[in-house]
Amino acid sequence: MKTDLTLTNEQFQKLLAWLDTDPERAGVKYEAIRRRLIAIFLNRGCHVPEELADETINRVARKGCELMEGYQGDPARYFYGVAKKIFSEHMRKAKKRRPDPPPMVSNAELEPRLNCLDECLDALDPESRELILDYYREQKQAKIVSHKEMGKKLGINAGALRARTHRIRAKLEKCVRECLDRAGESNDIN
Amino acid sequence: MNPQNDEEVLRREYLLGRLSDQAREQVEERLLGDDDFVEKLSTTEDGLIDDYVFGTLSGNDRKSFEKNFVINDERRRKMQFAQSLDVYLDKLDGPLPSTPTEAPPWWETPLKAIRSYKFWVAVPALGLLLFFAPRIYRWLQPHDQISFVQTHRARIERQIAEFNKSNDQSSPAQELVLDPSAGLRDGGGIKRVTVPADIKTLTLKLAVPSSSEQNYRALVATVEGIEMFGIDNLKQEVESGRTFVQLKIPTEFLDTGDYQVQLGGIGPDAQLTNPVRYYFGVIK
Repeated sequence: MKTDLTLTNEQFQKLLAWLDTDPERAGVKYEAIRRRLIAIFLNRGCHVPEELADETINRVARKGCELMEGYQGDPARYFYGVAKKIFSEHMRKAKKRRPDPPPMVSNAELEPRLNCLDECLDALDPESRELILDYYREQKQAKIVSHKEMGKKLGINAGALRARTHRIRAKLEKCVRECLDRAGESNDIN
Repeated sequence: MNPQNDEEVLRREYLLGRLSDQAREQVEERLLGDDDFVEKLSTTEDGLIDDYVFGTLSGNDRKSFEKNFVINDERRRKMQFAQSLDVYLDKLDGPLPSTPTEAPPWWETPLKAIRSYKFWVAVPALGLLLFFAPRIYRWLQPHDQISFVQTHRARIERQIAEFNKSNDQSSPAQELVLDPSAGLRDGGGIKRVTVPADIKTLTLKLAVPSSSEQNYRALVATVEGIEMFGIDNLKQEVESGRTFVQLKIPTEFLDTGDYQVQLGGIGPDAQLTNPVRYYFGVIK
């Protein structure tokens, strides 16, 4: 999609001021809206979700004072309206063909990742490491009952257990990526 | 991981790209305004990736996943992470890596064993086994065993052969599409399917190169190679430009575990010609 990505500093500052009068909070809101727009485009099957999210933001910012002074309600909803319009334009131009799903990588290719995973698991506190390994051992077997039992043991429900392992997993993933970068291993997808 | 509630189902359907436009817009509005929903969606995303990599997604879900979900590098990286975790856990094979804690005193190990419920189950079980060992030994004498196994197998084969011939579609079935495997795990692991109790038939659609074989024979075995049954006179069918041989197996003959199917034409000496191998797993 050909987009006009230019945005003046003044337009950008006005946009932030519209999101919140406090610059720090405005920055947080801006990041949150951008992340969520990316998720929306991605889940609509776009291969360039970041590009479309930025185009949405730019288009809103270029509306300038007329919009920001006259609009009532949550700015996120306005972004959403523009995003839908941009999605329709994108679909009209985009090629229909989707790429094939990526092949699973071989175990040999995974070796550097496994070393990093081992290192990162060691860096976790023992409780978190045990929790995440047990959780995924059970998940590999699709043993929902065991997850419930694990939750009971920890005094939390299955949802809270999933949220806890999700946070540990995110930490682990970040650690593995940093480890691969340090080791000079490509983290790129072929 | 199977969805736990309606909300989870909604999130999974959204991520798999299977919601109506209206339902999708409702989800998107929540995604923009509800922090808790964003967090849960991210957790559901991880769950889907794991299910795909661990082979516990059903056939249709896998198709939607491949078509609508794995479409950017970030998600592919997440898939590779889940794959690493999968292989790591396989390598770990049970015990956790050693924790950097102080070694327990020598008497802890026997004490721990005695305290474990496994010990109190194992002791009477061992006693019973010793008591019945001579009878079991007699029962397992080769002539009895072979004739029993042969009769049993022949009965199963007859039943499955009739089942495949009958084209009966009344009982609830689950479908699994399998491609020939170059070797165990070379193709990215065994496809596993979760079979709920109400599903009575597992239909395997075995992709084959279009060939002149008139009849196929399928040999089903455990992944370790223990042959279970063989079915003859299977025909090839063409669907959406691909050629398949369909093999229907009543789920009562499949316990939780991994299996292999060898498929080939039938040669003059009843041997398989041009055999190809497929792997699949069943979770009940």
